[in-house]
Amino acid sequence: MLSQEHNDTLTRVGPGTPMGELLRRYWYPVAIAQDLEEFPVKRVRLLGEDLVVWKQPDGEYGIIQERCPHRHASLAYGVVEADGLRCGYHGWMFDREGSCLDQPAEPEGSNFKVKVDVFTGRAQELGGLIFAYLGPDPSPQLPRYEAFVMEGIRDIGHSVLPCSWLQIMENAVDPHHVEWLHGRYFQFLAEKQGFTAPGAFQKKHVSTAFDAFDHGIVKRRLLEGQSEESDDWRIGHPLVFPYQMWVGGNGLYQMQIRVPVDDETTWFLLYTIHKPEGVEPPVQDGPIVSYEFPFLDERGHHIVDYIEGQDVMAWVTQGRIADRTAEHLGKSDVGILMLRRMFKENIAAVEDGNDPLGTVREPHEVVELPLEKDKFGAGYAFATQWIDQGSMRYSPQKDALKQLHLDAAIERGEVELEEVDS
Amino acid sequence: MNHLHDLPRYCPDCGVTLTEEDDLAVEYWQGEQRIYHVWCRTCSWAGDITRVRRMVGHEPAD
Ligand code: FES
Ligand SMILES: [Fe+2]
Ligand SMILES: [Zn+2]
Repeated sequence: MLSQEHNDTLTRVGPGTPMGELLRRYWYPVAIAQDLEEFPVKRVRLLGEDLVVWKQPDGEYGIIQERCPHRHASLAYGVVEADGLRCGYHGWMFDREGSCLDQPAEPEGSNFKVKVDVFTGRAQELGGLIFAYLGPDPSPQLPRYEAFVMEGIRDIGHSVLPCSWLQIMENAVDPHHVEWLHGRYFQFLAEKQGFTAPGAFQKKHVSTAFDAFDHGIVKRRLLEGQSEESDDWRIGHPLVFPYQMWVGGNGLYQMQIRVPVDDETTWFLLYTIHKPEGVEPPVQDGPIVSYEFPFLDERGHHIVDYIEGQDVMAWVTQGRIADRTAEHLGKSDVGILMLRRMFKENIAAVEDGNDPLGTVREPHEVVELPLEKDKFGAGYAFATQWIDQGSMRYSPQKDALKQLHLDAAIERGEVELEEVDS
Repeated sequence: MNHLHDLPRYCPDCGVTLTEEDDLAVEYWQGEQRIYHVWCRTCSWAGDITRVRRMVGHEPAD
């Protein structure tokens, strides 16, 4: 249980709030790069601010407040020029640094433009996503997490969810939910509705452990029947502070991205890389496949017969902002205590003028993160179950992805050809 | 029950007054025991504070 004040501090992300100031020290995806290839200007929302991102002819990206300072028309209806974005209403033009370069309707020789202030952040492409930074200069490096630079076939499922990003982050340090939400509940639905639920998630948790490291919290679990030598216990996988989680295993790698759009809205992305062992790393040709996955049916009920649909149900039904003054935390929630403390510690770090956890200042090739390879001891079945019974079932390239994992499993001798034919 | 009436007010280590703005106190339960997990911004102390109603000695395993 938290007091209302604590809950407010942890969930308010707008400018000038303590959490908002902390979160503004990180880069966030705001658009899929391919969207800007199709049209070079896009309205976006991040940390409670309405913004416009655009791609210049020289390939650079800019991000600017949505409202034109002239008379507040939306710059999302602006014109992309060689060195900036021009408002569609009266033609005022702004560059990526926030200077007003032109006010074509003003008298010749007028210097009014130097009086005009406009907010701009920084924007950059990485791994097919456009990342934005809204904090103070000098901006830190955009961390090149393995997910965004490794070889393999990429697949991006995404959806805008009506809840605070913190609810989703708390789920990332809640290993027990797996055996219930994706185990028992899945099995219950399967019995009632006549399908087969994936078995990999039904195993009981014997122990869980959480360790802070320089990019967040490593979460480890020991399941019934596993030895302490298992990857799930020995290696685990991390919550990547403050808004991501790196998971995977058995040839799938996934960055789960929870972008705080505002206090009550999250852009949730499942950024998956397929690189099964046993075959040459497959090469991505053409644009990265991205798609929106549904989480409500036509009656407005949650779609709960797939893994992430179950997670979304749990996050969204907690309310836009979960009322933590009425919660009852138990011993199995210690990961959540640890995460809340980590947020408070880093809010304090920023207030004291220090870089918060996970800040990268040095140019680098890649930031590697711990990740188990053999997940839940489930082998090839894990990969196909994840595709068939997770959000990737909505992917336009679902069949090709399954084929890729099957070919690799045959190559590894894990699956016999006859087994597949029959 | 008003869960806030005994919200820890002072840091057990440095003694500073704990505020909702700067510090952290989260209530959780271990069995029937109510515990506050506390973090003090001033001295970075982190730990659990709980009210003890009855001293329990060694509990033989059954
Ligand atoms: S048992 Fe955890 S939310 Fe209901
Ligand atoms: Fe989950
Ligand atoms: Zn103290």
